Amino acid sequence: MAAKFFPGYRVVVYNTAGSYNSTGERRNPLPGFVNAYSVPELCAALRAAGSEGPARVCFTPLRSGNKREVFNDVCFLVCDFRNVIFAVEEIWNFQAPNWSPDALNECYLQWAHYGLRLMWNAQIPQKTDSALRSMTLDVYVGQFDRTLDLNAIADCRLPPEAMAQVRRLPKRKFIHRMESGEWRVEP
Amino acid sequence: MNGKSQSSTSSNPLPRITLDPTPEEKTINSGSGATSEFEATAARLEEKYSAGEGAPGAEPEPEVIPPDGAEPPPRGVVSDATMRLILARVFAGLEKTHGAHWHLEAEDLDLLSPINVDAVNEWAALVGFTDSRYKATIAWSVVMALFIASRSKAGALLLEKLAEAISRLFTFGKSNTSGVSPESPGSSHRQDTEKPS
Repeated sequence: MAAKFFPGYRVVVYNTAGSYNSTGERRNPLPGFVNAYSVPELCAALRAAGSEGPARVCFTPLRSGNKREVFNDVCFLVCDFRNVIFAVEEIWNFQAPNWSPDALNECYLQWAHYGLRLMWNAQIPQKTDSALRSMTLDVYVGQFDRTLDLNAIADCRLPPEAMAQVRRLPKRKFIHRMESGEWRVEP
Repeated sequence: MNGKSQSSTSSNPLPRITLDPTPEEKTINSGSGATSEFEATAARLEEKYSAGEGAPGAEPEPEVIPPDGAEPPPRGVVSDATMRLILARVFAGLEKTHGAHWHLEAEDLDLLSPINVDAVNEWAALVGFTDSRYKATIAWSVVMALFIASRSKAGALLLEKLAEAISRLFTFGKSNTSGVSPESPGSSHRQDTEKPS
């Protein structure tokens, strides 16, 4: 997902699992991003960017408080920040298959009018909200073989011939379904 | 990122967002360039999560330290006193139903209670009792099973077999030579319950 949001001018990354800018073996560095580890730090970073300036913030909510409450608050904050790409890692942490919190619903159902673009990823698609899956315009799908995950991916409006390839996709290859409905396999 | 579904609600590649602010947005911009809605939300959240101490859910539960001289609360599944009571009731039932050889003195109870408490705690941890939603049901089942076993002949026989097996563990190497004395209290009951050959 980093490769997709990285060129953005104003980006807020919700680093749910701490995989970005981490120091571990499988780290995903985000050079040029400001790290925020608490909500006040995130507020300060966004305030410094102002309403039109560049913003590149990686928010890692480790031990920031109640997981879902923090996520809701950050959703509202990002909505008010406006004109921003909001990239949420492992979004299923805050959802059920038929439910999303109100704050997240606002993010992807209403605030596009104010320049908010939601990006998300999930290694467990079956746990993501079906409404989000069906509303998503641009989809990248890697290899999956579990039935429940495949059913969830089908909600992303992948054509049958693309779905047939999901099980046998090689590593680091993705099926990209575009907003136009076309699809292709991409590295 | 193999095995991962990643998506966005906009077309890719994502372009640099260069939306010009509308006249309404320009009027609500504050001096620092942020909107008043953002400033209000940020101020509210900064107050809520100030210094990282008032964050909801961030504070661990304070440990309760008993005052000096007070006995710490029992941390196991069952207390010594409760186990003593259960053993006393079970053995009283066995004595009443199956004979005086089941009689247990108070000092025997003192010896048996701690080891039974330890055993229960070990097994409870092993089978996940402490995490179970059905603690009361499991405890009730065990107590009822003990009660029924102590009041029935088959139950008494089973308990005797178990007791013999356990005692054999502690008399390893002697069981082949000593055996059970005909005068011992257990032998009469064995003769009662054994099948005629």
